[in-house]
Order: sequence, then structure tokens, then C-alpha cells
Amino acid sequence: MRTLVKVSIAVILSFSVITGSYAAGFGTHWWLNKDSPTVEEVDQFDVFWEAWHILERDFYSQLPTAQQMTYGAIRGVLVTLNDPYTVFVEPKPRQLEKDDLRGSFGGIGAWVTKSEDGAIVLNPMEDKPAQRAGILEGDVVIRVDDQEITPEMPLEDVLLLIRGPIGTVVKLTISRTGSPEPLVFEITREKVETPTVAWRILDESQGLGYVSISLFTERTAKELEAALKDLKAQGATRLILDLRNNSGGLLQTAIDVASHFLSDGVVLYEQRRDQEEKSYPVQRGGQATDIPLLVLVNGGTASASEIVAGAIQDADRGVLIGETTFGKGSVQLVYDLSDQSSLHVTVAHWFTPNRSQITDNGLTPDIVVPLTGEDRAQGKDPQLDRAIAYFNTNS
Amino acid sequence: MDSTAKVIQGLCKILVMMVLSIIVVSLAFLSGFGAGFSLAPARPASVAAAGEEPSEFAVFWEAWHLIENEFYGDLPTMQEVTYGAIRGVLVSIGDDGTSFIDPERAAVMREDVTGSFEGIGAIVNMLPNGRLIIIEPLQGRPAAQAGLQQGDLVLKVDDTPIQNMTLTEAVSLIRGPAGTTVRLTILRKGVKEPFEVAIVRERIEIEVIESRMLDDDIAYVRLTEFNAKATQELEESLRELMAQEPKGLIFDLRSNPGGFLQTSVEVASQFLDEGLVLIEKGRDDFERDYSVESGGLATKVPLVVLVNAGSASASEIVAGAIQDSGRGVLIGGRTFGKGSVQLPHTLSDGSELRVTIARWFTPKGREIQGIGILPDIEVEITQEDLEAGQDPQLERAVEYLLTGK
Repeated sequence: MRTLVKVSIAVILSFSVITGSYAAGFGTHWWLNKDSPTVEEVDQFDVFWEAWHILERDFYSQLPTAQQMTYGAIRGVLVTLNDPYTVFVEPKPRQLEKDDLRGSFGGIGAWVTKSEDGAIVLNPMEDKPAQRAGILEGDVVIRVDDQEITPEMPLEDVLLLIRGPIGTVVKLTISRTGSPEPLVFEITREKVETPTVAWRILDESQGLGYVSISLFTERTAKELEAALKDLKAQGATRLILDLRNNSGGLLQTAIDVASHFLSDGVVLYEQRRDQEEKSYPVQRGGQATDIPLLVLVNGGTASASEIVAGAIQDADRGVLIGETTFGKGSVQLVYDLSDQSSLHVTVAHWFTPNRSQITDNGLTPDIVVPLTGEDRAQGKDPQLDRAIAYFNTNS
Repeated sequence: MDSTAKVIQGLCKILVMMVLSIIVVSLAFLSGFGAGFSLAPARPASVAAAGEEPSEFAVFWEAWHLIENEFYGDLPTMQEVTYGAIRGVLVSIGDDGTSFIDPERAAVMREDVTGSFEGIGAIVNMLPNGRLIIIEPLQGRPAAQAGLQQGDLVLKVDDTPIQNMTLTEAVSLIRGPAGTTVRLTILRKGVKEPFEVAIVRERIEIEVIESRMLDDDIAYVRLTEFNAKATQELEESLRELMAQEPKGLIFDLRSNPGGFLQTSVEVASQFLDEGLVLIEKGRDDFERDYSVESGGLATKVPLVVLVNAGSASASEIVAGAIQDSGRGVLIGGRTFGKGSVQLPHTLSDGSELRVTIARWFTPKGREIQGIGILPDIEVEITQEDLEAGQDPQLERAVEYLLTGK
């Protein structure tokens, strides 16, 4: 369980994330109250305030807000670190990111898209509050509660207006083709879950099961457990795990997921600054520790996905099929700052159980099978085909 | 005609050699002499002094201290942090002209401004294939004395290969203090192996005006820079040329990087009877019109203005005013698009902050910054033209004045 500890004004709930965009986590981080600059820093930072004051006095046009300029300053500092994964996330995208990693949020149960002309268009999900309230596909949102929606408004702003705590009511004013007057709907938000695991039996006679994971959120390990149980109940005796285009997610989830396929050993090693190497052992009780296993990977398999694939490969637990993986071997902790923005900081590098550094190189599959644009256009999947054929010839 | 064209083509490239340094100079001039200072009333800064940072800024220190304590990797120095933060603020502002230059580079650029006219006295250009070509070695200057010829390709400067460098990068290597030696590795048509030429640099004076009568009673005058002498020299040339009652006048602003704002008003006023030259817009809805000054010497003669991507700043003001008034036809390529005024500030540690304090618009309100002025008749100069010393833009201008189309 994650424990949250808040200390002083500054921060900090953190968890580590491992993805192309986010990365992996655990843990509790005490943060000392160090949000004011030290004397030396103030001294050396003088030039910054000189520049700031000159801009305030002389710049010919409207300056951005002090908050936007501050965010710019933070981003400018991050540039000097030369680390693409240490990133600053503003409050609104941060909220959506949290929803994503949690795997659920309070919402109305509708796909929300922005059309080319800037209209916010709804497409209600089956048997969710939006549909039950009478929202139809193609409805255009013109107002959320008392907030008018303009074409200039970013989609993420609109999403955040529509989302909210479970049980609360949101009032949507809708423009609908064929309806001269705008329609008003009051919708009670429910828990909307974003599933990350999909599974099916590919071939009943062969007992061939398939499970894919799209992201490592808080819910993924539980979803996977249910999926594996169901596949076994349906008679699966072989399994294909599809981690293609999975950009990662929470570190703890990666460990939980890997532990479903491994019976013992280590999932990964982690090296932090000025600290001993730390190992993350396999957790006992996995659902699929001895079923014959193949793992599909590709260039979009990153971070937490590479942890899982790397642990399976190093333990000789399963064969990797597909293309070389992305190659992201660093761990970020996500720190919430005092104004609800957040900072993803690279705090560690991780290694596979055989101590391969995967940054830059990625994991090389045991069987390399490319998937071309042509394949994709024709709806072909030679990587999955190869996995099925592998089971057929090696059983 | 052909030889005239060649000389003019050559002359129009002189400035290319110096574009970088002159733009720097012109920025400094403009900021001093434009309406800059009037645009910058002393306003109470909302942030008074260090130690009284805006409350929004607290999150910066939270972020930095997290990095300092947690980041896995090399940490930047506090100076790098400071400069990074300044650059990040400028990114958030998103203005092309507002820039930050660290002390080291600021020092080099200040040297550039004072020493920029010291070189080898050759007109050069970068060919589309990334080769630097000698357009013309100026007579009696070090390059010519050392035997450089038109069409020579420069492969290396000292021991640095220059292929695929930008023109300004290559030129900055060739230039240097008077009295020093530069070695150029030259590839010449008809000579199998590249060979090296050592040239002692000297101070090169550039004529601000070049004028002559072309064939068919067409007058030609070229302005290379809007400096302090420009107005007077242009007036003298125009008096001489107009006395010969030309059928038409070609005013060449190609590769003219600009200069004083006031000079651009005076120069435009030579060709216009009345109306505006430009509109300057600053902060807080500040707006200032610059009107044509009376007494122009060439306000009636059919007029073509030659422009190209090297026509910047004051050149674009003049070209824009002439185009908007319908007084003349612009021929050549789209201009550079430098329509803003920067005020340079040297900060306490020697770094430099250049702040855009105003923007220029043509009399019809067209923005120059980032857009440039599109000529009425677009004519390209190709690599083959350059190698053969041809100037199709000038030829097109002559044709226009002779045929009216």
C-alpha cells in the first residue's frame, strides 16, 4: 500500500513511475522544508531577477502571468539536466495523469473528443450515466455547469470540468443537430474505470490464451489476476502476453505483474544516487508461474513493460518475440508541488536480473519479427502469428 | 550590360559577408535611436528586489531543491541553473527578438561589433550545395592581391572544413583582426588539386552607396547599410542621377541588413511625396506614426526596388512603405522579416538580455516581424546564375522599367 505523507508547505506525495511519459513507483518520501532559497542561491540567482525586472519594465507586449513565467523558469532549468524524463507537469495535465495511473475517475462515462473546428463532441459509453441521462453520440457540449466552452479551450480543461468527485452532479448544456434550443442534462458522476488488460482464448483446441496489457496502472495487477484466472478456467494451457506499445506506468504494478509469471528470483535491481543497489524480489503467489509463455514486444514497449519482459527473459521463463524494445531504464519519482503542479524526477536507474542496463539498447527479442506498415494496413500481425506458430512447433 | 550586371551583382554581395555583425550593430543603433526610450517609462516593478519574489515563484525553489536532492545524474552549477531559468522564462514569453546571451558569447559579440570590418576583402556567398564561393575579390584588397579569383570555392579556413556551414559561420572564421593571417584551401576550376592561400587580413571599408547609369537610361543606386552617412550620400547620388533624366530608377536594397530607424524614414522620403513610412507599436497600446518628410529627390521617376532575404529591418521599412503607397514595384525575393526593436541590457555578470520593446508595421498596418515583405514580382537567383555572375533580378528590373510590365 502506498502511504502518503505530507510534510510542511512543500510537497510531497510521491510515487515512482516508469513510462515513456510517466514512470514507476512506490514509497513515501519525506521532504524537508527547503522551499526557500539558501543565501548562496539568492546571491547567484540575482541575474535572474535583473532579467525578470527588465522584462517587466520594457517588454513591448503583454507578458505571460508570473505563474507561466515561473513554469518557464522551471522548464529552463530542467533543460540543463539533459534528461528527457525529468519533466515538469502543470496542474491540469497532472490531474489527468493521476486519473490515468489510478485507472479510474469520477465521470459521466462518455468519450470526449475535440473536432477540427474546436467543438467538444460526446460519444456515450454503454450503460453509463451519460447514456442513461439521454446523451446521444454527436452531442456538442456548449457549457459545463456555468462555464462556457470555447473552441480555444484545450480539451484537457474541458475534461477536468466534466470529471469530478463520484456522486456529484455536473450540468451539461448540449447543442444537438435537429434541436433548435440547447438541451440541459444533469448527470451524476460515477466511477469510470479505464481497463488496461484484455484477454481471450485464441485457440480452444490448443488451449492457447492471450492477454494484453496497455498500461501499468493501480488497477492493472488485479485486472490481470482476474484475466489469468478466467483464461485458466476456460482451459488455457499456453499463454501469449502482449506488451507491445505499452509505455509503462507504476513500478509497483510492474513488480506485481512480473510476479504473476515468475515463482522466485528478482524482478529488477535499482541503483539510486549515493545508495546501495536495491533488489525487488518476485512476490509469491503468481497466477501463471508455470504455464508455457511467450511475450510480444516492440519499439513501443517501454519502461515498466521492459522490466516485466526483461525479468521474464532473464529467468528463461518465456521467449520474447517481436522487435527491440524502447530502452528506458530510469525510474522517476513524481512529486506534487505546492500549487498542484508536479515534477517527475529521475531518481534511479534499474537493471534486469542479469544486470543488463536497458537504457539506449532496449531488450532484444529472442525471435525478431518485424511488423511493417504494409502489414498494419492489411490488418496482419506477423508477430502474433509467429507466437502461435512457435507454440505449434515447439509443443 | 553583362559586365555592369556582374559588378552590381558582386557589390550586392559585399554585405553578405557582414550580415551578422551589421545586424548586431543595427540592433544596437535602432534600440538607441528608435522610439525605444520613450516606450520604456519607469514603471513600478511588481517585484521590487531579490528577497521579495512573487509568491508564484515559490514552486521554482521546490522544484530545484527536489532536483538537487533526488536527481540521478550530474547536477548543473547554480550559474547554469540561473541561465537555464532565464532562457525558460524567455521561452514562456515566446518572442523571437527577446534573447539572452551568456557573458562569454556577449564578449565575443561585442568584439565583433568593433572588429567586424576586418577581413580579406572578398565578396562571398554560400551556394545551395553548401560550398562557399568567391563572388568577387575586391580590387586592391588582400584576397585579390593573394590571387583569389571569381568562382573559387573555399574548402577550408585554416584547418576547419566549412562545407555545410551557414554563411555567417563561415564568414566569421574568415574574418579576424587586421594584421593576422588566414589560410584558405581553395578549389579552382581547371586546377586538379585544392591548394592553400595565405592572406593577411586588413580593415575593409565598405561604400554605403553605389550608383551608376545603366544602359537604356536606367539609373541604378544601391544602399548597403542605413548608417549615419547614408542619407547624405544617397541624396548626392540621386541629384547626380536625376540630372540625367533617367527613364527609370532601380533602388537596390538587397542584402542590406538595416541600420538607423531615422535613416529609413529619410531614405523612404527620397521616393515618396506624402503619407506614412511606418507605424511603431509598443506596450500599453503605444502607437507612433512616422510620416514622410518633404523634399524627396526622386518622387516621380518610375521606380523598382530590389529586395531579397538579406533585406532586413530598415530595408523592409523602406520597401514596405514604397509598396504600400503604390509608388514603386518590388522585385526579387521575400525579405528577411525583422520588424522589431530590441533594447540590449548588460546584466551584472556580463551577460546580455535583449528585450523587444516595439514592433514595426507598414503604413497599411502589415506586420513585418517574422513575415517579411513579399515582392510584387518574385525572381530567383540560382546557383548557376551566381557561378556565371548573372543577376536575373536586376535584369528583370530593367525589363520592367523599359516595358512597364
